[in-house]
Amino acid sequence: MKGINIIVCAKQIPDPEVPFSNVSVDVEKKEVIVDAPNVISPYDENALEAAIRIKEEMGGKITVLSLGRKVSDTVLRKTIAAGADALILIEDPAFERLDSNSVAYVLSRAIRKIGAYDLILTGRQAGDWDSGQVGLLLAELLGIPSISLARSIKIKEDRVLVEKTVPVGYEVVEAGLPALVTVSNEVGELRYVSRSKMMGLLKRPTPIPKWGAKDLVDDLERLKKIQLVELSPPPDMRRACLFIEGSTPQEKADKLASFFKELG
Amino acid sequence: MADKVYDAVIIGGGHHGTIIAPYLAKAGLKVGVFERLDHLGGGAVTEDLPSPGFRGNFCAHFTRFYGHPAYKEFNLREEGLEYTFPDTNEAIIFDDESSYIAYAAFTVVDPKTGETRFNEANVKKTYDQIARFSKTDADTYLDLTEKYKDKWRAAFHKHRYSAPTPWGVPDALEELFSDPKSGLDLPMQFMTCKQIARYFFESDELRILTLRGFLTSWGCFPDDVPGIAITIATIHLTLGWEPAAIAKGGTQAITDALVSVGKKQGVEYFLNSEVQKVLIENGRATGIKLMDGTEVAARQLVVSDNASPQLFLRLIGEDRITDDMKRKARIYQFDRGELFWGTVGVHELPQYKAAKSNPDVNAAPRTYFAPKDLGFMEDKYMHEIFLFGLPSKMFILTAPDSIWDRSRVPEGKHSLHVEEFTCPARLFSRKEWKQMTQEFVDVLFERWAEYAPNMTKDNLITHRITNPVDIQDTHLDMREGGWCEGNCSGVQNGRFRGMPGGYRTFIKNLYMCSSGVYGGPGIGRGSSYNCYRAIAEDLRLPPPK
Amino acid sequence: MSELLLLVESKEGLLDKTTLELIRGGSELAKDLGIDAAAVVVGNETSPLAESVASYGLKKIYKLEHPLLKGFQPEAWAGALEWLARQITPRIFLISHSFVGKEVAPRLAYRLDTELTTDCLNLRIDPQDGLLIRTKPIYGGNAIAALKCAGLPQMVTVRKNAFEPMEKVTTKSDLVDMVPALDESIIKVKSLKTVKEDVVELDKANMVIAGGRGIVAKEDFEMLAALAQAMSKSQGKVMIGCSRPVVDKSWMSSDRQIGLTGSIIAPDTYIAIGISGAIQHLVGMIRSKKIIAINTDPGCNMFKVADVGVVEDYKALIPALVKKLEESA
Repeated sequence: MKGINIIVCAKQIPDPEVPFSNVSVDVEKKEVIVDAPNVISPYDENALEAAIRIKEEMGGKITVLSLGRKVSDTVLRKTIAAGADALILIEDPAFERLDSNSVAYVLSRAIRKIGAYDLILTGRQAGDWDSGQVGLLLAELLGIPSISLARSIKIKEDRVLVEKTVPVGYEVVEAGLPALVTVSNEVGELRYVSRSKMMGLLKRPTPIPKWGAKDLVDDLERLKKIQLVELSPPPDMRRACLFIEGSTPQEKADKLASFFKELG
Repeated sequence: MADKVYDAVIIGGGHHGTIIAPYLAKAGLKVGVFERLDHLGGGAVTEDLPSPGFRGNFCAHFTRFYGHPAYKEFNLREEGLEYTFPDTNEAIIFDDESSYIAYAAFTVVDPKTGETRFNEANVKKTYDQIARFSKTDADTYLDLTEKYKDKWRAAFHKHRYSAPTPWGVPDALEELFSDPKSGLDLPMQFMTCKQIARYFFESDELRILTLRGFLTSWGCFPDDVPGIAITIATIHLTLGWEPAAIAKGGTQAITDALVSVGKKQGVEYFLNSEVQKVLIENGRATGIKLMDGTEVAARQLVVSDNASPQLFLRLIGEDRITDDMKRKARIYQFDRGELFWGTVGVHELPQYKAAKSNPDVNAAPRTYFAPKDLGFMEDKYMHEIFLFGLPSKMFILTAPDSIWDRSRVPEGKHSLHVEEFTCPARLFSRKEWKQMTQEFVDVLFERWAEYAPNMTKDNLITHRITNPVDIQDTHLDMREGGWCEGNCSGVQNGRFRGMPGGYRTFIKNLYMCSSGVYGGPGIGRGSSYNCYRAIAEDLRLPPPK
Repeated sequence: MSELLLLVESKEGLLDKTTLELIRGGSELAKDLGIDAAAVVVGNETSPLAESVASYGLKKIYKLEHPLLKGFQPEAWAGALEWLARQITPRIFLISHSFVGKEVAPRLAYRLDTELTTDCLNLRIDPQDGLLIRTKPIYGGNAIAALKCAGLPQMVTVRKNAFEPMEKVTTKSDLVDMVPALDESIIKVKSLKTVKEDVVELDKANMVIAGGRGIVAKEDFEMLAALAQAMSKSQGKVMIGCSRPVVDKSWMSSDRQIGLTGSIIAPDTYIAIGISGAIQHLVGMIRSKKIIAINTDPGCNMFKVADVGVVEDYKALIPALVKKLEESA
């Protein structure tokens, strides 16, 4: 097979690495407020990295499809800088707070609109709701085989060969193309794009088409929102931390060692 | 019933907490200081940086605490706070191997008191340095030096250690505008940094240094309106009037000296003691409650070394403040002063190509290296920073302190502080900040080697570079990770800094002494001193010396 | 449409503890609704497992048997369970949020035209409409959401330890044989081989020493190994773990990853080195009895949940600590 057409689904979520003091819950509005920039959901970054590696090996085209609210241009352009060829945003108030089935449906409509593809990659789960459903649902909707938790992906002729993580180790599976694979972090971190490369890219801007409800969905009533009954803050995890002090690392180490001595 | 009782309770043992504590104790008050972290001093700390064997300043580095009134009042030199004063001052090296060194126009004659004397010889040296690229700017230097000596200097000092005057009453610097001999022009209050640089200097060399100086002084980018105080501070930096000063042992020495005095005066310091709220009864502050539930009663007053976000929104609480205050707190700007900052440990000091024609550039306490590209600095630098976090052309500040303070490095080695500006923390994810910081180090050494060929990575022993996320996480009032507790250009400086009321908050007996009120950021600024003066006035305590 | 159905899972041929947890949770829900609770065992030979699950008070055990159900092939399992659900139209379908559950549940939900909620911590019935209220952590555990979904069966996957395991009862469940109509054409993903790896079971450790993004070089994990070696003299079984970025860098295999998508553990002592404490990681270790954090950033999350903290560069501290431990051993 020469040149492969890959679609990567990338969700934007608030930076999951922020301290929890930056996250609050508005119980009345049933909203989680995160004081943090949006990033591409980490497992979706892994999916993009997997796609780039396949493309490097055999050529082809990577289209990043991003559905999300408050989509940040700069964050998504990083995907182009890293090696994606095209970027399509799916953005519409009608797409906010959708349940997993509806998200998969909207994505399936967008993928049909794109047309030809060989492989769809998604992260194993999104870093906000951690549902881990959309990938598999999307494959069902498109009627294509799906493989989850990939730690390595290879294309061999018209088949995809995947090492997937299983509890005892890994399993090697294969499926005919087109197929959908959900990617786990063992695949590797998305490559860093140096600032100078990012700057070069800005000089040749890639157009980013934006698709809304009217472009994708005829039957809006098919879309269902998440029905929240209530939203509450988590139980307090804090403990009173005793800081070990000392003017040198050895002094601190000695005090820490005596702490362990008492433990053991 | 309270668990502890003090006359004065201080929230936060940061730099200003450690300054005001001995003042209050000296006035006879029983003082307790409650600090969230495991150490005192806030921005004035020195640690095993970048790695053991080296000592580096995690936050503030350039200090002149010998000029602070507390230095004399508490004999801090006796407490171990000693400064050394290099002969050289500011230096900048350009990519065409040209360079400029400013020699201190005032040199210290008595290191015990920090007393200085005007130094004609150094003025001549600086004049000659400037005359090499611009006769006009060299003459401007002489003219401004006279004005500084006669007018600006005293006004600036008075301004720093006085509370802001009410609107309509000129403060010490504003008074200069009505003095035709001051050389200051009223519109300067509203000029941008770019305009100021163009107003005073004609050479690209001094304009570039002035624009970088605005960043060094207060984090203002070329299109910001700095206001007159920052303008004078920056021109002063460009022309290097006051001597550079290096605290022996790092800025920790300032904290150690102040805490030593405090302890002698009976101040009690509590570490790992995060304050949860200010206790308020009938509009008066009566004490504080710690995170662990401990209640501390304040018989006379509570002083906050936190700035507005912590004090007003968290410790006092949104339910107690007016909509107007909330609005003010919400729009308070934090988007300046974000840095890549840290220490690098090296085998040998940089040997600059420019030293061939100007040998002293190898040993100036503040050495910049930068492309001679004024247009870039004026119009593109900040925009690239905000888009990408790192600019394509860097204007790096370095400080080879180990030349003068050998206690900071292992035998035979050296360390330098390095600085370049970047954007607010919120613009990138945590992962990206870590990646960008690594790229900064790589690019830093690539560039450095262009100016000083021995500064390759082979010369690097160890480094620790912090980014805005590191600062934001450790210093809760430094939102977005800038080294100011809020942008301090004109609109948030002087009488406009912080919340209405300034040192005296709207809660009776609750005062604010942090850099979030006037005095502003930087070690040795006047906020805590001025705050003590306000307290002394209210409580009829003895005024400071 | 009267039953609550739950999927039985095994571990090394034996009934998995998570199934007993599902039985406890499921039985209570069924009682609230006044319906029966049943379970389904899937495989090519289901009798032993069906027998062992029959003594936990369930009304029925469906033995869903077919040669294609040997081992675990997600499409075959989803196909068989879809067939069963169409036969018996359960009202509620509970599945563990396990490897099997994550593979099967979404596919099944789609095929049954219902809506799935994954990784639930708690379940209850809304007395008004009889729907399941599903409680799950979101944003890595920074908020707890309770939500409802339309569709039948009401379907969820449930997190390990969400319920106490069920105890045995004296009565036996009825065993019902079911032979699903399946043919090979539904299997589109072919398994070529399964490679067993030495999998570290972090939940068996007394002490876990974990490194995170703050560890700057792969070789530095040797320091952690040296520390583990020194600790093992006094602290029992000591294992090395890590947070997600370390696996992303391929410095460690994913069985050592602790957190939401790795292991969720509760050792006696947990030492976090260079781990800032993203909530997704904290979820995996917060129940540790003692937490020790070593980090250069005093403001990081890990110190907020730690019992003991050292603000220090691990490169300086760990060798010093190892030295001290060895001296005093």
